[in-house]
Amino acid sequence: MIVKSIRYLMIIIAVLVAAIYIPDFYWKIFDVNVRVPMVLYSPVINKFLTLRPLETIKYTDQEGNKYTREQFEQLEPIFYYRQLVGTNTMPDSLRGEPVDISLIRVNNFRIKITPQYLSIPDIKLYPLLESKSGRVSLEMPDDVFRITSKRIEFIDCSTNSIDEEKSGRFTEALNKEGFDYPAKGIYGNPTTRKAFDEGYFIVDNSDQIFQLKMVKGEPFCKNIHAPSGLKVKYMNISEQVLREFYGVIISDDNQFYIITYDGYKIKNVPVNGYNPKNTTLVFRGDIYFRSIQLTNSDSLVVLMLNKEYKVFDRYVEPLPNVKKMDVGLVESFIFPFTISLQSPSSYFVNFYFSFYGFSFIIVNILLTILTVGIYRRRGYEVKNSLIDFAIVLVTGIYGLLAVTIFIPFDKTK
Amino acid sequence: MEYAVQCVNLTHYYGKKLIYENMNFNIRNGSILGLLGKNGTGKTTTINILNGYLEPYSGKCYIFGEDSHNLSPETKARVGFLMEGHIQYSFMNIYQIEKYYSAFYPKWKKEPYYELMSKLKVTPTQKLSKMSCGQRSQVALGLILAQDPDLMVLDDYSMGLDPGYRRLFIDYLQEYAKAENKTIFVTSHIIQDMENLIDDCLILGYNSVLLSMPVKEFMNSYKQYRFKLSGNTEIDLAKDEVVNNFELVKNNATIYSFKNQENVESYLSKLGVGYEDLKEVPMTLEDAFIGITGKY
Amino acid sequence: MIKAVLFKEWLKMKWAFGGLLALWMAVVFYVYIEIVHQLKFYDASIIWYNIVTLGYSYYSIIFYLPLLSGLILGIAQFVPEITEKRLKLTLHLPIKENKILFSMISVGGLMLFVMYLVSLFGLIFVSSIFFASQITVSMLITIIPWYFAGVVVYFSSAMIILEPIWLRKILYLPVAVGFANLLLETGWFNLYEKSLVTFIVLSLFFILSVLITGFRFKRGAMK
Repeated sequence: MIVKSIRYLMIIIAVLVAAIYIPDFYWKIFDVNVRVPMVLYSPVINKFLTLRPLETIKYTDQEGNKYTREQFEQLEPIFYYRQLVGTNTMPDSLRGEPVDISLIRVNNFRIKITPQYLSIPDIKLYPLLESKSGRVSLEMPDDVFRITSKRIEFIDCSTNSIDEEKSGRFTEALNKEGFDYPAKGIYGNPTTRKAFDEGYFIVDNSDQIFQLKMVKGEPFCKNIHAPSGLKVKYMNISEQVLREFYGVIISDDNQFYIITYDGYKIKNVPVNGYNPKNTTLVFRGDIYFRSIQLTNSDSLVVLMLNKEYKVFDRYVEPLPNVKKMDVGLVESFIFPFTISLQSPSSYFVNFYFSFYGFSFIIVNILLTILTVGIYRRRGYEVKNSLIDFAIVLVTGIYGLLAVTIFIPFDKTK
Repeated sequence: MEYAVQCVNLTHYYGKKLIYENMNFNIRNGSILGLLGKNGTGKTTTINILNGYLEPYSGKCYIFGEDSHNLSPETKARVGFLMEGHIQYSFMNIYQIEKYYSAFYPKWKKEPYYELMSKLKVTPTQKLSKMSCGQRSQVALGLILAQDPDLMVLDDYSMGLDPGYRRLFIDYLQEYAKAENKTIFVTSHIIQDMENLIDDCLILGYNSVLLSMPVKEFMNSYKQYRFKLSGNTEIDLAKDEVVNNFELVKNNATIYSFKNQENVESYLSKLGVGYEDLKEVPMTLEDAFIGITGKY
Repeated sequence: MIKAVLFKEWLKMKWAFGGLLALWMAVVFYVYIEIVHQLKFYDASIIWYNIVTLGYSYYSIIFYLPLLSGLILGIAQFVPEITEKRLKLTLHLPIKENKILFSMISVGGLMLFVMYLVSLFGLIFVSSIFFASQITVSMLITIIPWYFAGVVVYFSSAMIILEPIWLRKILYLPVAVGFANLLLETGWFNLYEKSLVTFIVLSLFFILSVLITGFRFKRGAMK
């Protein structure tokens, strides 16, 4: 009967809605704040230091020695150079060399890549800035470009029409370098709040990488001849005054590279089994070192690298995982699965299912027995309600709610 | 088919409250059945079951041989239904509502409808919601007449009507019933109107059927006897095969009974009840109804 | 017969439909004059940049409008049916109950569709005057979930209003509101790109939900 089938459609909806909102309420009530420490490497004592802002002993090193805030800052003169300069407590020399504040400033950089950055909505229109305008600061252009299956097109924003002449010139420049349309990925940093502009790094349809920028109105296009086999999953382009690299690449096989200013050489940076799907990576650099910090729900790892990108020290701290605490265990018993519309690994709204093994089966069996009892008491025919019981057995508390809201059509006593 | 409506072993509860148990009744084709009873005895419940708006706890109703719970459109077209309070689409005017219903019924006759409407003092654009209760009852009646159904189910047509409109309603129903093989099922709590209208009556009490028989038979066989008690005035007569109901005000007693005067007198003598001035008092249907259902 | 149903539903809903349609047209016009207004103060390139990079949405006024439309249509159509249990009259008509209920929701569904069509046509037209197709497509991907929230609200309001038991109405409400809310989780552009089809399919589950409560109404459900 059609009405019976429609009832099951609504039960599916009710199960879905319950599986989204009930675990959400559960975690709103019982969630535990996992405190991730800040880990720094001291160029003074060559040890890792940790800062735990929410705990009573905030400042320690890897051996457990305690410090005051002032001592801590003295051990991290590069990280806190502005504070130290401001209070006139900056040491004159570090690691046997005199301190030059302007060099410190130029060398500091930080690039953060969270799992969500790899799955982010975009509108595939890109403003291409003039990189040599002769002006002190960068300016937004009056047009944006897009790459179609045949060419690059510049669209004038105020008239909403294609600038054929400019599009032609730039298409020619791309063609000359052997660009294979369309583009798989276009990565840049379209802002005027930076010191200079390196345009865009574009991955073409054959996984070649090109740099495209505009110099005095003319196209500057270079195939950077990345090693074949390198497939780009994600790129982060950020112009650093240091001019050591244009940006970083995460490849399909989860390797981490920098694109150097040294003839676009692609340099591998060791990242210790980094999985961009669940791990946040922070790539940091200063006048002495480079570091890679990897944080996921299980651990915090910091790799210290020298300027040649060789690892010389590492810090590992296991992190408490809420899913393995009591609150997480209870969750795995009472919820057969949970659904969330948000994900820590994507900005997109979707039905993200989480499944925590089969511990829920006991509760589900009990709920099914309860359902059979309720149905008997209400006088429903048990043999007509087998689908309902199967729903409760599989979806547990959600299913029980669903069949309680959308009750069967049987006559009641 | 001899019966337009057959109800077999109807039992219904509201929650735990029993409305009636194993109720059986039939309505002969071409007859008018009045379903009488006090408020809350299940008149509207019966109508709802009959129209398929309510599934009885057990038992079945058949309309023209079809299970009332699952009527085919063809059978539904043969049944005219007047909702309690003459409910109709109040956002329509009299032309719109006629046009609307005419699309559904193949035997639609608009003449009787417009004949009734011509007597109402309403404007062509006046919505039903802006009409008086009596006017709305005429619209509802007109629509049913136009539908020309074989069975009419009227749920308390008299509700909220003044005597003029009530009389008008009865007149039309009687005329309609004269036509070949038209069956009417009517509930009302204004019993006096029923007397000249209905052929059979079914009287509901709280959780049981009190009476089911042709009105003429009922009126002929059901009697009221009044007498004065001499001697003991502290008596109470329970219901049995002679006494259908007994009332006592000071020493003025009344017995309602299906037996004749002789039977009643010998009954009283046998019990040793002292009485004088026992005489039969003529009754209207309303008196008989009160007799059988009691005043409370 | 279906024509008669259309006629009746039209009588009930014409004011709601006319008013909402006018509101939709006014809103589309507002989107247009808002862009024109912005262009007086800022370079087009700045507006484009704000849309593409900063997520500025020139159509965010639409957000709750489908929801409101679905709700008003549902109320205008079905509240008169349940006041004084008037639905009995409808169910007494010599047509199969499911068929008549289905034609009733078709009328409301069609009205919603007309509003959607008019507004989408208008919005695409306005957007295409000022912006590249990528921006217009992004607008569509962004607003379609809002539109389907209206679909869910219309059809579930039919279901809820016709339900005879108050307790059940209250129980259905969080399911319907909860699901509609999933479609309004965010107003940021393109976020439903990957789940749009799933959401549309699930939203369509609601279309026939009125048959559940229509059936319960007819049977005189008491629980």
